Amino acid sequence: MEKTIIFNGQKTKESNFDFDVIIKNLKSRLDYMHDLSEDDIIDFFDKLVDYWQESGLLKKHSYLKNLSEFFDKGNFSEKLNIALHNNYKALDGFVDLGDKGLLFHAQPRGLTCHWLAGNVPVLGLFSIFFCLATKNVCLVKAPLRGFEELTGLLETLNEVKTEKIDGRDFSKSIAVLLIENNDKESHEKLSAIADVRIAWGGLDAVNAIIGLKKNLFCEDIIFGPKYSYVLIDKESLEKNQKNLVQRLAVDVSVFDQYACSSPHTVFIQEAEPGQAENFAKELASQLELVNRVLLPKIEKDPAKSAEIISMRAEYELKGKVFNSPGTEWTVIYTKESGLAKGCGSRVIFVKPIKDLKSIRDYNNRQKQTLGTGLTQENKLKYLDSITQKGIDRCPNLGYMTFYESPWDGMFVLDRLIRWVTTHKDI
Amino acid sequence: MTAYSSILEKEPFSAVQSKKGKLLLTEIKKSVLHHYKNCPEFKALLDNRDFNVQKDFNLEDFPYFPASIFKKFDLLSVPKGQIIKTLYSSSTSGQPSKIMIDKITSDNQILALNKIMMNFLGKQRRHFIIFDTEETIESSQGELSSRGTAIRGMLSLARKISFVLDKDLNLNAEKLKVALFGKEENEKVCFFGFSWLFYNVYLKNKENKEVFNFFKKTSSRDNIILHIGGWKKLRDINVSKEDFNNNLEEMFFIDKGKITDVYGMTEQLGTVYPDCEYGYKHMPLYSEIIIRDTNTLKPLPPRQVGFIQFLSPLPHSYPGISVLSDDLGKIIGIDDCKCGRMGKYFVFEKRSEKAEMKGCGDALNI
Repeated sequence: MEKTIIFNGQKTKESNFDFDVIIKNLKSRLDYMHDLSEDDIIDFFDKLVDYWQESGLLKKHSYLKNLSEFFDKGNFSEKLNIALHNNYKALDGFVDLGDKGLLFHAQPRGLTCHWLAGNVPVLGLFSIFFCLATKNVCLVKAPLRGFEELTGLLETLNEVKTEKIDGRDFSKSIAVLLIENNDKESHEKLSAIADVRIAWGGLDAVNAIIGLKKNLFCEDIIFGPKYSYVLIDKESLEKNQKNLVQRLAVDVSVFDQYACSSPHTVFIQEAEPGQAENFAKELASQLELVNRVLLPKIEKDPAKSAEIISMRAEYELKGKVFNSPGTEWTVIYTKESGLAKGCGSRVIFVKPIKDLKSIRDYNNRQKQTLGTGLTQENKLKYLDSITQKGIDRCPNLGYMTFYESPWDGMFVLDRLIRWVTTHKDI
Repeated sequence: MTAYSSILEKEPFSAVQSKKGKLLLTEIKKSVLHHYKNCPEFKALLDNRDFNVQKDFNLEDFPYFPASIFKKFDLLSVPKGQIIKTLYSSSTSGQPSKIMIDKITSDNQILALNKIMMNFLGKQRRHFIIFDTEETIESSQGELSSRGTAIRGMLSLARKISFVLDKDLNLNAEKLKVALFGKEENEKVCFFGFSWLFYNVYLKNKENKEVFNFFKKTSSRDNIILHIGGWKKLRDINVSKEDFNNNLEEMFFIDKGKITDVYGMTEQLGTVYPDCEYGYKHMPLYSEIIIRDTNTLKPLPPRQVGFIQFLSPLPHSYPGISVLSDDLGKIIGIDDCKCGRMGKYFVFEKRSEKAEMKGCGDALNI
């Protein structure tokens, strides 16, 4: 496959494009972005979300719910504020953040280059929209699988026009490319011209990107491979098992469990023996329901099916397995300690534990989300210690795969700007 | 006399499917009871799936172990003291399968293999010129590699054997010369070995006129090539079955129609599946094939591709009587192959490759 540009303000398909022309065009957009007011950008995204609602896209792509809630005007301005030291107007000019002597201004970093993964299209949109919201321009290496969905959604920018921003102008700040993974020359070029490198991917992928030469002042935002799991205390189990099971079934099923925030193991604190196994059975019923009614399984990969069949047979001999007749979902109950190997494709392990603190040693920087079914008291009592070595977020069940700010332990919006200061009047 | 002698006394491709189905089911039911009684893991599998061994069942409803289970557990249906050898599968994906064989299983396998292969090779035993090294068939403390196992299995079909590769798996031209020119008049030759080793020899000797001449001068329309071991290593270097046959035809001076790919699995040795002259693999009386949809896992009708499941009553020392492989294939027809063999016939399509790294893993690989 030749390198192809598939979005350049609108859908296109141009092979062997001139890299330098694309970069020059994008850089020329920086002044346009710089001159927009942040309120107008917030308004624009708010209208975009309305458009998705009205056009039925929200119904069609369930993952857009997270994006649309995030970019709702009230929520997004709040998130911007939190990330930018409580005043997003810093993006428009110098503001007082409470320092005795200094005023602060958030300038865009410039050309952001994105390497997107194909598993979760919504995450790519988050990183592109964050860059635009901070007045940067975006050069995106799309995943070779699923890029049509990405460009289709980017094209919806062109359908939105607010009083101050015409989507057809705004979208010219994005170019999306298809480049073979082994086209080292193109990847090197992307890396060399980036003011910010944003990479979503597995270990090999992000290592490869990090290894490319970059500009000395380039900022790296790396969303590498992560593992997520769940902790449920005995009090919550007793009070809310049904609700917890329902919410967890959704967390497991969204993105077919391929998001870095998807859970693979559930630790159940038992008040009495058998509760974890019972939870596993209940979870099985809910996974069946979610697959049938809400989120039918999309993945059809014989190799993954073979892996699932193998795992089921293994645990039929050393644990208990509850599964669909086909390969749609699998719940494995086992007393083995530790985190289970992530299989993906809706395979979840349920394990009993006695002590909530015992999971502390499983954590390191590779662990991302701990879905919690914990009382508020237990959250305050244990989460500080549990997250000391790792774990970046501890959402309630049902929200594990919802993108939040911060993500992976960082305020991404803050990483996309550089702070400029000047003294207040003496 | 083996536990399953009755079925092995019959010719492998003689019975039409309806008759075969009944014969095989009877044998499998006996076998199920044996393994259920003697293998705790097999019992656990059936109990977990609420399968009642006392009730009548169809083969399609009978639970299966995935082939990978033999990589993870030492599964036995006889006391350990009865084990006479342990076989290991080729390990293209890490851990090899471990299959423990007793005398009954071994006898069953040898008999089945002989019956099946003689149906393809004819009753006159051949001089087997083996494209491997003699060390491969030497067992170490009762343990055998998959190559050693497969070669040993075939030796009973040979009237004479010659190994022609050195320890480093290079062709020894002198040994080949002796084997080819020292053969008796009218002696039929079978060149035998692993597919990738044959191809290795071809690649290393394709410019070697001396070797080409050996084959040319001793060529005979009775000579054949039997190759086993699958296509994975060859596909990794982009060699198709067509390339393979063309290249071997050119080197060995053997018509492509006499180059036969033999398919089988370590988990059910003995029941092997050579291509017939029409390119199809036939189910003998001693085993049955079910193709399962890779998502629903339900049985598929002919001509639809899915996982290959083999059922056979021959394994006695380990519960390998119903094994789901992660290979993909399809049934082509039943009782109507032009070659005249009865029963189901199928083609192997491909191995299901290691699951693709999803999402996070597909961003870049430079």
